[in-house]
Amino acid sequence: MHNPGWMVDRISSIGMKGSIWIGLSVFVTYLITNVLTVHMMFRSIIEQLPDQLASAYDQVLTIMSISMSVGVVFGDIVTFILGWAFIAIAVMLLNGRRNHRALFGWLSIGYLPLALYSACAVMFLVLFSDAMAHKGLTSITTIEELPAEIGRMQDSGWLGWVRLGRYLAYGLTLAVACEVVHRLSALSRLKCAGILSAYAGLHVFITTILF
Amino acid sequence: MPMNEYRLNKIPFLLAVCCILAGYVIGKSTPIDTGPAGAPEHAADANTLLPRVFLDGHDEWKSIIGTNLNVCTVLLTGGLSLGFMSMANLAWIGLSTGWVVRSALESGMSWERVAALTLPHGLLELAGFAMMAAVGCEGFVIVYRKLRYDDWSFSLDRISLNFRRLTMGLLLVLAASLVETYITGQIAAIFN
Repeated sequence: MHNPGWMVDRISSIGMKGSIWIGLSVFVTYLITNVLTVHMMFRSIIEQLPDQLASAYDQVLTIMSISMSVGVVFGDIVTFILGWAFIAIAVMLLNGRRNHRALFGWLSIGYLPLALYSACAVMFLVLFSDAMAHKGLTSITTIEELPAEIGRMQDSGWLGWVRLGRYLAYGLTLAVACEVVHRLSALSRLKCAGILSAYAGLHVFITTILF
Repeated sequence: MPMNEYRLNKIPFLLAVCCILAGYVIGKSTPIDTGPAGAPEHAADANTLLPRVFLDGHDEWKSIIGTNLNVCTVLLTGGLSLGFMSMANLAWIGLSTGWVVRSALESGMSWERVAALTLPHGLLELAGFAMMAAVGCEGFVIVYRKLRYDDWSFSLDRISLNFRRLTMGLLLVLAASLVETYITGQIAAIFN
């Protein structure tokens, strides 16, 4: 018997326009929380640097922090837009149902796991800021040692778990995207998984080459 | 031409100019320590920092046009991020210009000389960059039209508009590089 109170029915009643607006708000929330995470981690790193280095490179580090946050935002926008275009083209080539606008809306709603992860990461950084302390940062002598030390810091302690949580959120986002493409484009789940893993692989490959 | 279409044509360029101006105002009003305090020793080597000061004539022009074309490429690829990256780059260019002007004025250089060193090629160069960034905004226009009107189609007017922006942008950047190489120095010499 049809029950209008079921979550599934409520989700399926979201129209085209609604999905685009909800999706955009989820995506923008993700961008904001992600920038906050990057910014707070950077501030914490600057606070742990020896005083001499922190004061000498104060402006450079501030500019680095801003440019890194801006880079993260633009990187996420490019990843999403190219992903949408890639999936739309792949669906056309595989003779799926063309539903580009709904795909845009629902794929951005699919960023919900990442948005939740980023919000949790911000809360973690606010509530457990002591967990960010890393001995190596306080003992570096030149600024050239900083990138390697940041790498070591991200793999250690609680921050290692934060990184693991990020991979989990990426996995969930891809799973949601796979289901979205399957339902909207009338393609089999296997084909959708193929499309998404091709894009994810391409993304990782290009990112590795560029950075 | 419908009003909405008219706005879509004009807003990217105006937004680009606003980004440059906003960056310039922030740079001009924000003090920055330009000295290499605490920087590694090799940073004091002027040859590493500014190899261009030793160039002259055709070599200098090649270096300037190379840098400008790199900036143009970055501004055009900003289209992938719906033009946001182009606008942020323009704001950064305005910010650096503001810092340089402020730093020159604080070092005791007269404002006439600063204007003579920046305005002749700077106006042409920034106008060219604004044109390129406006082309970069086309990414946003395409996605906006698709989501709002469910329309992928490119009108001949839009293609022609972007072609004009691209050509004019390249011509302005080319003219700016020639002015910077051969004319700016001559004008600045008058204010010695």
